[in-house]
Amino acid sequence: MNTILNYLLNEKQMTEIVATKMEQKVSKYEDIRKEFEFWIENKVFNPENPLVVGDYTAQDIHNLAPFMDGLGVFNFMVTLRDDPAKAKEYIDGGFKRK
Amino acid sequence: MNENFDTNFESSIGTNSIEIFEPNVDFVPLDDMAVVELPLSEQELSELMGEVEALELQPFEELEPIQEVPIDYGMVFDGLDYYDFDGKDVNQNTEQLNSLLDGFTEDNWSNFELNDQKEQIAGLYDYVNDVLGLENPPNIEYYNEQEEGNYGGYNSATNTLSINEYMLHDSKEAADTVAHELWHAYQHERAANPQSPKDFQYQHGFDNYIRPSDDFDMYQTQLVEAEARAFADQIKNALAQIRRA
Repeated sequence: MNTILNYLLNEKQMTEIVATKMEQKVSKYEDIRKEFEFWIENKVFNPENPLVVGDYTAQDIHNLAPFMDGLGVFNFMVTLRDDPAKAKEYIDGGFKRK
Repeated sequence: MNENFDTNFESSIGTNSIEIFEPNVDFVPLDDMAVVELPLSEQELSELMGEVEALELQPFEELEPIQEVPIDYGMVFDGLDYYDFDGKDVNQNTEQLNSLLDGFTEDNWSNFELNDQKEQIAGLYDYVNDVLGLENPPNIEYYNEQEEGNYGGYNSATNTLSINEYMLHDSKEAADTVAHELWHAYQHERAANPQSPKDFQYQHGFDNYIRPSDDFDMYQTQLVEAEARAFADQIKNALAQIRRA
């Protein structure tokens, strides 16, 4: 079992269905996946030459949305890369949670 | 019958005398013995056969075929193209709704104290609850978490609708949150006793719920959230019309 799937199933206690979906998304791009694996190992965002997607580093996203943990931040980086307009809507809308 | 069998057996073999009659059989305590059905007598067998022949069996072809309704579990994560809200019409009494929403217009809302705002929320809650016909309406509770974007939630375990006082500065979001969370209560009632394919989708959705902290986009897109937003949008739109008027 790979590092990410192991983390999602055992540490985050996700169902297999959700863990598989999350793993597929966050592993979509190698650069994002590697930074997420670094976060899983160290529980901090990579401080040296961090990846930038749409002007945002992982730490920037976490500052915008402190309720997100590493998985949420790196999945949001995938959303930023795939659909920047939608990601901007979420940022401008203040990440409404109900 | 079991009691008689045990008594007869014990009296026929005597205490600790089993080896004499069956030297190759291990002794089994009476309490652990299984009940053995004795063969039927010819007369009993004949009577049973007669009963079977007398039965009027329905031919297999005449049985109603079981209708299998496909359930698209993929939609649980993608949402639907259209929501009919199971015929629950939030505009069932437009006059009453508009009167309630009048309290949520910016001018009125900004002049209310916190307790007055909670009264407005209670009025809207009663109306939406009436529209949904919930069997077990949730309790409302308030909390104060100074965190932007955190409006409220519904806890199915305690059947509680929670609203963050900190976010009550925005009246349209306050109204939206009441409708949104009550729709979650409705979804949970349906999922607890699923009757339709959508009820099963709710059930699957709650079993595999995606939290906003894990993936904000998938959280927004999943059926239970997309539908709750669409339901509450009707309230927001009605409020916007009152503002324009």
